Amino acid sequence: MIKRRNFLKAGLLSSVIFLASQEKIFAATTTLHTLECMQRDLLYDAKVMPTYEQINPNKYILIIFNHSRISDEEKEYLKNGATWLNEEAMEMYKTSYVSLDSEKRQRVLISFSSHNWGSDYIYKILSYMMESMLGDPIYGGNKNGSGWDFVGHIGGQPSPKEAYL
Amino acid sequence: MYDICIVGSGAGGSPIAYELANAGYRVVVLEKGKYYHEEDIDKDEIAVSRRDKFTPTLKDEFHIVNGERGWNFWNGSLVGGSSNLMSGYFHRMKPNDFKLLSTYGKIDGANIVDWAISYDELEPYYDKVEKVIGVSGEVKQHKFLEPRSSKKFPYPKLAETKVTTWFDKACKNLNIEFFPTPRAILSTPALDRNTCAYSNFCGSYACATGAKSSARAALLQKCDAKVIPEAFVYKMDSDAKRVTAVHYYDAKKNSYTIKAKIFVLSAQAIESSRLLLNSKNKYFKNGLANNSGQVGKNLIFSAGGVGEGRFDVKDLTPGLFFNRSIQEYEYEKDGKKYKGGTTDFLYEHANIISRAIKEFYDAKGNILWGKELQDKMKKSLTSTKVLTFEVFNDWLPTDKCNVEADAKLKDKYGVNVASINLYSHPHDIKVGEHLAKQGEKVLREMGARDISVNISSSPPPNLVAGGCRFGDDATSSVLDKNCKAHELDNLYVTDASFMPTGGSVPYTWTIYANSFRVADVILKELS
Repeated sequence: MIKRRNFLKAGLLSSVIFLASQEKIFAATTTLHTLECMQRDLLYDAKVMPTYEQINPNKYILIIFNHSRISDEEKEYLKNGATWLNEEAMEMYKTSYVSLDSEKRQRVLISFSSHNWGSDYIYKILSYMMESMLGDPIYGGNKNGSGWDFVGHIGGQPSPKEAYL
Repeated sequence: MYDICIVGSGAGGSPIAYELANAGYRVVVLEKGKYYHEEDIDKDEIAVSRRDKFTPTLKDEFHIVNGERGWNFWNGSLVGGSSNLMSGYFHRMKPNDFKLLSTYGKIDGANIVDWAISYDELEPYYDKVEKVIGVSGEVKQHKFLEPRSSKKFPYPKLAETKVTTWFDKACKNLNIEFFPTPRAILSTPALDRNTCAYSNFCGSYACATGAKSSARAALLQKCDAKVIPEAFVYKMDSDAKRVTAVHYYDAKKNSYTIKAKIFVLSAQAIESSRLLLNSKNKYFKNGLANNSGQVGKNLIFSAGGVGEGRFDVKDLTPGLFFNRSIQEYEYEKDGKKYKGGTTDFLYEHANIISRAIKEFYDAKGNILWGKELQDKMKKSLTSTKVLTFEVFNDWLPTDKCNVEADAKLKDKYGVNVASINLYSHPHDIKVGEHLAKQGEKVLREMGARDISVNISSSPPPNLVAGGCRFGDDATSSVLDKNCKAHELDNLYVTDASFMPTGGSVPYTWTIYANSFRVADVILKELS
């Protein structure tokens, strides 16, 4: 039952992004896969920071997509940004962001960040990553307080008994 | 039928609930938000500061600001109101704040008036707040120290970080008078409440120990007033002379009616005006108590702004308070006397997510990620500390700053929303900039780097007052000197709405004190 619920939640983000040019489909990917890839890339060469697994940002972004206090406009923006990132990859390398190697994805991110809208989108994704990395571990990130250890922070007490969704 | 029905459970309503209930009267308090007790409270940054747990969602309830939707002007919708979430920087207004017009004269474009009461009339109630609500501090003589009937604060000042000694030394070098900031937080167990736990998460968060002197912890939990949470009052009924009933919706939008002998409105300045304006009837075609057309007028905020500087420090004990203030309450420039204000110094908020987010950009404004972001965050967050200051000065009342009930747009209850017109008088910025220079000077003397200052005309939504100003003239004010509506015999408004000018301090202590004063008036009336 729990698995089925998770699947349904993920379904919001698992719809396919088709990347086409002159009616020819070049590639297809999903929002969730793109975001996972992007979140890993935003930790590029950051060896002292908590790892992707400790931050667990992809699970956290699912919380955001299902959060009662995140507006529909914000959720739409998060989905659209993943499409824009793929379009940037498409323009540079004629394929989806996720199918590029790590170095090329960094080049796409650099190019993407040179647009105001690209930079704003990176800011947004990083903000949610910080929530996952530095929020209370009850949200599924900040494993064993690894985020707080990284910045020498002592979490607020009393800590929450349940996640606020 | 109740003796008293109070709409809103914050600092404006709760002293009346406390005094009247303890005197044996039947009191009911209607609060739009939920009831959180100490055991429900945690320090979850994501819930409180990122998802705004204590305020309505803008999809359901919103304001129109200068014609636009999307601004968040909510403060705290919970029992005890935004007093739960305050930092508790407590300053009294000064005697001259009560006679701003007669002391400093008229300013073109501003509706400055003297208050209908003097400092001397409110002083016993400031004193009462110290003792009943709980204010910790140390009285230190300075040029602008207001007259006090008690020599000392009833509770000693809170424990301070050693960095305050740098501050004190810098002020002495600069010949600037300073004093420990009084705080509405208990420094010792008292009043059947716990002492501060120095959790390091105070402002924006409710208090889990009960040490913070919120209206809930200090008053509502100490009396037998009946509190009905999740009760949104959408209309007040009246005849020509008296309010007869209020109507509220519960969380499921079931409607209920409450009848009482006396009604007290304290839903916070914007919402109190909105409710009056939305309560039109045949006797009050422009809204309750509004035949003068004054309801919603002369809305004010606290003017000023913020500044900050960074220090290279390590091994600071987290949780201890900084608590330092300076007051340049009056100054001269080009041979003219100006009303000044207050500057409070405090550490940057402990919220780690927002502090991390501040590190996202390099000096050129390029967004960072990966190793570059990691290194910047590590350095800033582990080896430096930011000291900030907040400047408070008068936001002059004008014809251009007010609140109305929007003619068309409605919230989830189907009630017309508040439409706020913002305007900041240019004089406010001048005074704020003057005061900020002193703050900047202190930070520099302390050895801070990366000093920045931002004095602006942006209104702080948590420091709002006016809209139902009190006064002796019924044509230019909504309330009389006892905060009773000129036009209705049993309606009082006791949040910050009554304030015709705001002083140059945060408002909460004055709101509490005035509400205790009005409670005495109501007690006399009922007896």
